[in-house]
Amino acid sequence: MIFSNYDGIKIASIAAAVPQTVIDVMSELDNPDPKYVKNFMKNTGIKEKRKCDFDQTAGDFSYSAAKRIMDAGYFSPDEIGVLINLTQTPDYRTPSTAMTLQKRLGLSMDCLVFDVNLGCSGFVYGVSLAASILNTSSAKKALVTVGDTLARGRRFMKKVMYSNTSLLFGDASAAILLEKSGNGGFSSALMSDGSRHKALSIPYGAWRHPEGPQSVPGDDIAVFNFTISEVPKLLEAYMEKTGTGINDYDDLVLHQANMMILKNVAKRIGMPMDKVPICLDRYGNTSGCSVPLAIVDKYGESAEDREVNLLTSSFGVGLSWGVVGFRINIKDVLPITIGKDTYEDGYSDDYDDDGNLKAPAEEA
Amino acid sequence: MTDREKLALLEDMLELDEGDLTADMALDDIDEYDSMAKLSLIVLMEDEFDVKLTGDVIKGFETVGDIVALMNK
Repeated sequence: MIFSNYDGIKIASIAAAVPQTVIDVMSELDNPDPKYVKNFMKNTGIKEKRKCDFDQTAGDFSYSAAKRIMDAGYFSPDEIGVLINLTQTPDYRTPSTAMTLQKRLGLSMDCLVFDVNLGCSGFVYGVSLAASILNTSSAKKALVTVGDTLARGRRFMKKVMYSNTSLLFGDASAAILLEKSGNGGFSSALMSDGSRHKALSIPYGAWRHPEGPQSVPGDDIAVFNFTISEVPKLLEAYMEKTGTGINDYDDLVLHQANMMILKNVAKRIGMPMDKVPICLDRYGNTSGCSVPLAIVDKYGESAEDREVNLLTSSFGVGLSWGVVGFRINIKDVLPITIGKDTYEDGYSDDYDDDGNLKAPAEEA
Repeated sequence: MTDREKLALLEDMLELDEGDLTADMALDDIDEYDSMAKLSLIVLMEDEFDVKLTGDVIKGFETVGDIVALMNK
């Protein structure tokens, strides 16, 4: 594992934005097999999820979450020296969604701005990367946004509409503000295994295979085996390295993959389930956003002025996984935002298959 | 552990009634043995028998007895 200490850096605020539209899993399929869906709900724990409108992207929810922190007074636009957006559903092939967020939030040009192509492990990588840059640069505050719209993308995947994954995902984004602080500090442990890159993959639509389906089925068994073996091992190694134990943490916040994984990871490190926040029952698997969303879901409505010590782990496509332990004051965890923002970028969607702009429809 | 006790573990995992499973039953004929059940089987085998199942091993299972044969205690 790559272990890092970020002395003098703290996570100053967390917010999350979700779509307005609630999808009942039972109604997700056109002709649901009640037995199949009931079994799916029992094993995954997912009853509802959120799906964005078709004029919304992950970038819109990342904007809503970041703006929530800005509007609450935690930063002004010229204070942000680093903006990192983590997503596997970017607004454009290029440039990074982060560039549009810089513009929309009105951040200054004195800022490092870029995307990272990571999915479910996005939270731990995002805060680690931002903290590393803060540690070695003149930047004082960093903004991390992490989110995907995998539920929206699934609408086009007719061939896999009846698979587990088509039911699994919900749309959402989160924003995390980090800042230099005299009394702050946290640690991370990160790992990756590119030899298993095919276990979860969207190989089509980029430059090696421009044409093809929007997704292919993953290797569920390989991913499950990876999760229940590698994630508990890394959590144990992190706690050994930091000289901590499960009793030192208020919560174990895990990527909300599915209920079987949450229970098994918690069980393997001896953490009782009442210290494992659950939000996948109402939001589904929200990819890289799920750890901050679970924190916001648990603490966002409370104005209590008290620090909690959180042990977090996210894991997924790559394969990629990591652990971050940090303290945050409950009052700095903001309530869930219903994301209604969209972005009028001036580009048209009216192109035919040959890439020519369609003629405007004649008026009757 | 007797074979009957091993079958009972599988019946419990699949939420079937006691006595529903026999070793010669084809897994393809058991509706409850779906993709989620296979993940439950991975956990059961690792927790109870310290056996780590890979995707290839699971694909090779044809009958209930094939699973029971790996329950080594």
